Amino acid sequence: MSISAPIVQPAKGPNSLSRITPDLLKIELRRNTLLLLVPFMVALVWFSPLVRDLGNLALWPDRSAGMQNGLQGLGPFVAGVAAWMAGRERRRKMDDLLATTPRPPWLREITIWAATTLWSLLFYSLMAALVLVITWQQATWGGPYAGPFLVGLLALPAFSALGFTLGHFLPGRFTPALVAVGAFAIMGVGMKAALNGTNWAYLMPIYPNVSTNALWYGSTLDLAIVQALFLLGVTGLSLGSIGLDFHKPFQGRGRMAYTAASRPALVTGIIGLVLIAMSVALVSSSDTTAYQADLLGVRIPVFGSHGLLKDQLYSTDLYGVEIPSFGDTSQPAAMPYSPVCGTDPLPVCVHPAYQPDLSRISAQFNSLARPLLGLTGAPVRAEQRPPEPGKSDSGIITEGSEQVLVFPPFSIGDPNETLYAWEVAENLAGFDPSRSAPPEAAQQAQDAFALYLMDQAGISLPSIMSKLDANVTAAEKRFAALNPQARQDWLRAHYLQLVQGQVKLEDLP
Amino acid sequence: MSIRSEADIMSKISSSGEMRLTLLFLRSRQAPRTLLLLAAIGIAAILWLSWDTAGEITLLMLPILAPLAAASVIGVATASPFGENEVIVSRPLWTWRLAHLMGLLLTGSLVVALAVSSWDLPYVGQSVVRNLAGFTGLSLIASWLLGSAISWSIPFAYAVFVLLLPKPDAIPIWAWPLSAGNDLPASLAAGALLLVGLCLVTWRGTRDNIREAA
Repeated sequence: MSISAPIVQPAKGPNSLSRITPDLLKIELRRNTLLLLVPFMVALVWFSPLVRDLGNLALWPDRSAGMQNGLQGLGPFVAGVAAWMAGRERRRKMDDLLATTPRPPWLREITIWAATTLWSLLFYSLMAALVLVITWQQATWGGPYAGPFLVGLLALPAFSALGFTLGHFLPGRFTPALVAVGAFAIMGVGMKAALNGTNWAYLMPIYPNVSTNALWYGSTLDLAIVQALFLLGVTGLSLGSIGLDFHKPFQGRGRMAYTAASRPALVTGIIGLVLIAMSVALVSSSDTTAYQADLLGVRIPVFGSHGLLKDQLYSTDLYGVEIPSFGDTSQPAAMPYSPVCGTDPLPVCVHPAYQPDLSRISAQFNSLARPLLGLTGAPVRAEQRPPEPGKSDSGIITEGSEQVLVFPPFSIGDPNETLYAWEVAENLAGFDPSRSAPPEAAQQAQDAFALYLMDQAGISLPSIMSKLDANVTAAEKRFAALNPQARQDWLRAHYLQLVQGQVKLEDLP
Repeated sequence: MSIRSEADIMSKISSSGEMRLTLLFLRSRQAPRTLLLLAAIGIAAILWLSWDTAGEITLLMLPILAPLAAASVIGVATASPFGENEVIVSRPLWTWRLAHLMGLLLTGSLVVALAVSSWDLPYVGQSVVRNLAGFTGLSLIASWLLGSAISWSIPFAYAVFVLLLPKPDAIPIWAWPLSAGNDLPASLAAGALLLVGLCLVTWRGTRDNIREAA
């Protein structure tokens, strides 16, 4: 008689793998530290510029770029938590016990990463949905830009993977804190490098891939695609390196033996590395300085000329970063639109996206231009125009037989609102940066008149203009104290001369 | 053996025991590693300053991030690997806890102040020391509230919030990390936070999971 013991077959094949992974993921989702820290994530977003801007004028480029801006606090925070989660088994001295389980350890680790990432993505998606819904209700022109949302959704897995990898290789109690602060610092350094015109720094996930001027010139997905490739690469390389730590690709003494278990990790890591290299190569090909040289017809050295950084920035800021490999980098044409105009005595026309601010912009412009209405040489309407490199974005121009006051895009409530109002007052007084400056005495007369326009409109001077020449302020007080009829008569007779720089300060009555 | 020499021996045993306990306490808190990390933070700050000293991002971020990193390390360093076992010892724990924290705080202050000493910015030394004190206070409060492992979360979230604030004309007292180093109300606010944090951790300890000791 023989006794046969029941044979227990170990679970094998993809079926058992696919069965166990969701269960493991459910457990990890329930036991993730990120859940405990949701209130901090809410606070990080709630007090971020993204939510603060929801009360301002809704422009799709700004709101879309804000989704990348929102990563500033969230990304490093997720990286820190992922670093903490990665060291969990080792901190609890579970390594030996878990090594006896039949599942591949890389899969087990990735499940912890996936749970952390899924919670962060869920949070980010809710935040994005909220911003989209609110902006959809507020915006009067255009639609969302896909680039920032794509980068936001890929950045969180990358932050999480990077933090997780650091936590895996350095599983100490200090790692999460230093990963979070370090990631935040690296993004700050990256932004600084990007503002200095260093191309690789455009890969930072918080560098906006949509410029504010997308409203006027449209936007390409160039930078968004390169940023996405980079983030996928970081995720792949990070996760692959963890897999290679568990399954060493080459083992054996004195000879190199390839182990099949390491193949997925090796492939993931190599793909990640290739994607990173590709994105770095692509972003390096973006030569915004040379691009601007073509744009302005001026030969500008490509790099190393510190004095040209401001111009270079201007170009990048104006049109966003374009990658030559993706096609034409010639000057984009302004997108067509039908302006909306106010009905005040001085009609003010703005881009339809600025329609919610039209009544307030019109009221401000009309209060500034009130003493000039109907005078020879005074503007008959004001028009908002897109910014163009090499051209003054504000001033009085002649179109046909009419004088038109052109002004750059700005919104009421902008921190520089009073500065823009001062610029308009100066333009109305004759200041035009595209013309050669009049003699100093004539400039002072224009300043005094601009000051009068601000005063009579009840707009306070911007703080940077508070130190005007005493003679100018005295002349303004003298002019403001005039009898209204006498002042109007003088303006009728001398406004054109004042604008043309032919009136000196002492000529003001 | 005379009575006097016996007392001497007992005294020597007692003082060597005290020293041994102190060293064990410091080892349990990973004090050597903490000091190394504080030094590394100082070196990182010096490297940053050797790269850029006048940029807007550097002016805004470095006086906050260097103390934040040091404070986060100090907060995490409060973790005890013994849990409740430690609470039942016959010696008063608060003296060791206080001495340990004060030592780290002094070292951290010295490190961040030295790191920025070559920076030609008014009151930057006072500013980083004040910020270190305030962030350490927040970190210690978080250690008591959430546990030392994630004690960095509160000062980190607060620092990000402050860094992303629009630049106000007058800095409110609750945004003390942004104030100049000679701003007395800001220093008092940071000092008050440190005092609260020190009191909580010194008297009550941290909310730590003994299984998470690393």
